[in-house]
Amino acid sequence: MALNDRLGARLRTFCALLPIEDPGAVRAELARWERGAGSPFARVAPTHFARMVVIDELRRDVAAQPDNEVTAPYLMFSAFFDVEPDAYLEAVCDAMGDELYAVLRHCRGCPGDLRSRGATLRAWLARHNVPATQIFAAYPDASLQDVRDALAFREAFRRFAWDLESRRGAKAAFEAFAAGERA
Amino acid sequence: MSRPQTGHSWWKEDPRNVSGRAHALTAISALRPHGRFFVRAWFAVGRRFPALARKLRALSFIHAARWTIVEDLPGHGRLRAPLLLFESNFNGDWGQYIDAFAYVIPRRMAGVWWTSWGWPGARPAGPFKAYIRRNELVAEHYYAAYPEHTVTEILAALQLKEAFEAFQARTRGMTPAEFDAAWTEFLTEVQRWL
Repeated sequence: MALNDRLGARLRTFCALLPIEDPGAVRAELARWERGAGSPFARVAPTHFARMVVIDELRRDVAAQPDNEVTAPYLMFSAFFDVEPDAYLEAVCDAMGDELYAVLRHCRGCPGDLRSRGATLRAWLARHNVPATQIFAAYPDASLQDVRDALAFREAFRRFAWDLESRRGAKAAFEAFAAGERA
Repeated sequence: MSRPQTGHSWWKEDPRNVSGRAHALTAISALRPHGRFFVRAWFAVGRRFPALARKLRALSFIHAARWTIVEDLPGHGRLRAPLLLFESNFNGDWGQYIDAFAYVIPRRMAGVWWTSWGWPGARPAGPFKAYIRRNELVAEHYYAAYPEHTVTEILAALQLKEAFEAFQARTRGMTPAEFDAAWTEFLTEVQRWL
């Protein structure tokens, strides 16, 4: 996050690694979430991208690699957004309340549901945050609204420009035709 | 405990990692001793010389990516082998994505991953792809706010809007004839973003 802060870019990230007590239950709850426009994250306005990943184990690639001896599976809750992280977590808790709690209650140490323990739960999430070492963004200064506005503008402008050009072309073609008729 | 089987061939994308044209890649590798210092130094060089990211930007299919060195795992404590957690949001095909890393920016990739245990090198791409697949995790839920739009389209839209606003400002007060000439010139200028 420091990189983007230094460059004045708007993109921020949050990634929490939460030990899970029941990975099957977490998967079952996440499988209930709608995808696409119906995703609970769609209700959290500043979200560009978000993912929930279950990490069952930390595998060793080669025998010489030290064993981290991590026995618990983990839930990774990660998002890319364009407000301050505290404000983002508040927006997440407000907009995704019940669905999020249904997942998080299977994580070790989850302090309670969002309605009664919202601030405590946000603090708990923040304690499990692993700060980014490096971020890359193709359009780091654009907010989600900027992106949506620009895409809508591009569509409208294309229609306008093509319409204008086709009428210009028609007139030019007509004049060429008329000039040919006179000759 | 074993990793969940996706039921997909290794070169095919698990549908849970996909939202429209947007794809999620999540990979975890373990760093060799002192690896975290090298990776941090490599990123610091990249921040000091932004030109190093130019090729990555020019690839124009990565919306946003994030690298995280995890030394202390929340709820566990200090790790003997710190982790390098990589998350990417990209458009296009998974195989082409890794190929681009392998053949267009191999040194930059090596700069990040050469200190990870088991790293086979960026080229040839086959072992590199197998390494990523071995260390990749499937997203149980993935969300993209503008799933049908590619990076190229978004960059074009942002540039077009900026150019349009500048055009609007500089043509204020022009006569219709002057405006017609300026409009034609403007359309030529912005054609690549339409």
